[in-house]
Amino acid sequence: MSLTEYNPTKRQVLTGEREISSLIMDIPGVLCKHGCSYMACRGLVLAPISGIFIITHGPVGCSCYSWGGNRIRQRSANMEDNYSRYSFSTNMQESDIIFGGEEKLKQTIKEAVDIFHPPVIAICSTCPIGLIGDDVQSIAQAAEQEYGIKVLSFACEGFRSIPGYRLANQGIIEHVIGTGEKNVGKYPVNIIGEFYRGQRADEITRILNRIGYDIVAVLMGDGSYDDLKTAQQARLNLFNSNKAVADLVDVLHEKFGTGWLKFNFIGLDNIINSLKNMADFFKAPELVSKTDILIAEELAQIQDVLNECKNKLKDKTAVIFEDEFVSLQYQALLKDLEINPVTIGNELFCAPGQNEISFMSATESVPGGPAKKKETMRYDTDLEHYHVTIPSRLFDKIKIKSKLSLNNDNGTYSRTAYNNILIPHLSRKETEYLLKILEPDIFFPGIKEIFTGVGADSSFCFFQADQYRFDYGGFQGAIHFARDLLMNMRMAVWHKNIAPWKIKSHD
Amino acid sequence: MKNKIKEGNRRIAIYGKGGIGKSTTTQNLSAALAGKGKKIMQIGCDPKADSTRMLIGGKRQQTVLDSLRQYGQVKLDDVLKPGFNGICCVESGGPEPGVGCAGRGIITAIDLLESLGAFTDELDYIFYDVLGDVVCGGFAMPIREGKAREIYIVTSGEMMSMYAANNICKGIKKFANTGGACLGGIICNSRRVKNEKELIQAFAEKLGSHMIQFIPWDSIVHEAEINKQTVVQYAPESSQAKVYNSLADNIDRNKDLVIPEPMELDELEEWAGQWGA
Repeated sequence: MSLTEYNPTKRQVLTGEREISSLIMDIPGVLCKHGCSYMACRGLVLAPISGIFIITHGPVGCSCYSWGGNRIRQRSANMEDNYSRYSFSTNMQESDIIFGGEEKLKQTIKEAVDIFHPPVIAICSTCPIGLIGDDVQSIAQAAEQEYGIKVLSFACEGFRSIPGYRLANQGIIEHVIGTGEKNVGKYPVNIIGEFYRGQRADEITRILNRIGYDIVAVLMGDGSYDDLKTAQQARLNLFNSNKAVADLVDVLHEKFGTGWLKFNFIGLDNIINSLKNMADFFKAPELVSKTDILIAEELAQIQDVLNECKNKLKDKTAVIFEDEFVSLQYQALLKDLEINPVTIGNELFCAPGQNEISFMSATESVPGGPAKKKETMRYDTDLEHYHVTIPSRLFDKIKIKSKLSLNNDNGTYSRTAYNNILIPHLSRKETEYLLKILEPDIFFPGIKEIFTGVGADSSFCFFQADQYRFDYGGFQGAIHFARDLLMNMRMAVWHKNIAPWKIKSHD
Repeated sequence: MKNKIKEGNRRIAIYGKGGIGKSTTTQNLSAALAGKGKKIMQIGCDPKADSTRMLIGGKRQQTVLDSLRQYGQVKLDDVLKPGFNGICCVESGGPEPGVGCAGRGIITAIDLLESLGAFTDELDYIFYDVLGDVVCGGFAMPIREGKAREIYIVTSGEMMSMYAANNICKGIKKFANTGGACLGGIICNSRRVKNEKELIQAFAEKLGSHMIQFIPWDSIVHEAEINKQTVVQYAPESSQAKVYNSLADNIDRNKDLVIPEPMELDELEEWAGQWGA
């Protein structure tokens, strides 16, 4: 089937699992790449919004180490009011903790206004402020009246068990959205999710504008404060996030009557389905026809290169050892190249409906597959367990080679939808053993799993998207990914670079 | 340079429910001991800074944290004030009510005094007069890290007062292994409760300790307070002054230090119920 004839019976868009809405924070002893409540509030939600000037109320270290955060690819919507390159702190010291930091905060707000004249100030509290109980909210209100600008306060002390991105979003919905008006286009949409940033944001904007949508505001991505004020004017929220903010779109629907759709701009299937769903939502024939024309044009542009790459990559084996969100993105990209992925999910984070990062990546590697729910939850960090999902074709290879007793009768593995096999409850050692006999052509390790690949006996190439220049969103992203993948696999380093302790001495 | 507290020093912390008379008792005790020729330092660990008032004749002294706030550094001469009979008076001070962190202030103040070398070898007694309950880490400072070795709890026969005393014992027990602070005894400051002396004796035994002194209610304490003096100074011949002298003797002789066995809440209620009947 040619890509241009694509006509799915059921338009599924794979995103972070919407049902995952619990607020369980990190488990001590388990390596992960998360921060604290303050980090999420400042770095994830507030920092990318241009126009908001952030004051960190607390010791200077918190401010310094959250500077820039995870916004490597950020491009501000409005360069004039972009304060994300600054880090402004009240620099609380021992005597300020004892006598209270309220005076210092007032002074800091004054300095911020004098130097930068920002349209809006956000005060983020760190741990000690929560302990000594500074009345940040009333100071914010007083400053609002004194300087005639908006001053938001967020009680996002790092130790709080409510994730900071929730606090930040709540604050923005309560105090910002609905305070302004502007002229919007015929089909106004909001974008909600941290995926809208840098190059991918440019690509999304280009495509949506070509069809005729108007992006009103962006929340959690590279947005601007002025736009956020008018976010209630949009008719549709495009939602995709790997954070526990699934109820955000419901709150917006309740408050402003805005509808919402799952939206994913990685993987051709996801993009096409997202765009078609959007056209259906507005029930406008002109959108449907424009969408179809755009999809056909974009696909025609990449078809040749994609087919060429596909011929070279077809039927290779890829192993994905990542968290759910990234895993889903890789799976979508690999599907376009007809590479069958083996996915490994960590059981520690995999009580569906209970955790931010769920085990869905392992059970639901194919669109529409039935989600398998686990009943119990493990917390023992000594016994890290993994679930491995393998295409049947590769499973036979393992079964012959492996010394593991794999038997369907006693439940060591089970068949899932789309001809996949799930092997649950594997130990770390067994997982690495499986990896060895699978001999994958390419390995996608997460940040915490990168050394699994480095230390493996047989060398195989591994691939981390963070190290590459391009973002793989959009139609062009598919071929950028294919090219990077090919380039990576053909690098001599994977075959010639042998660890010094493995070179046999000739003496 | 930290100057270590001399091993021979008696380091004593006085705890008890708020308003029970800790500061009054401690000041009278200091005054009585000073009268017997002992060198004493009294440290008030209370943001109100009122625990050395009667020793220095009602003048408000500069606290350690006042000094820190105003000048950014502390000089010993500014904060050490000689009081009645040469008693060395210090107040830790703290933030205004409702702001900042008083507990952290006490930790800072005591650390500062230590690093400035306030605790010299000549001192026989160091008293910490701590406010109210052991509500947070800061107010447990005197019983942590061996800052104080002995703890005396001031209580009356009233239920809530014993309740607080029991709570303080929980704090002592928690730090007993690391800090090495032990309960020296219970001081009964009478509130004219029926059978108060026997009640507190039994209460002290229940905690595994003993009642070190029964202080009867006397209006002369109030009278002396108005005159900004301790009873020992104001009316040395009065019966109340003799009681404080007896307390001073008892504490000077006391070798009976224990790790208390605090009661659970239900147990305490039940036990007190027997006495109330």
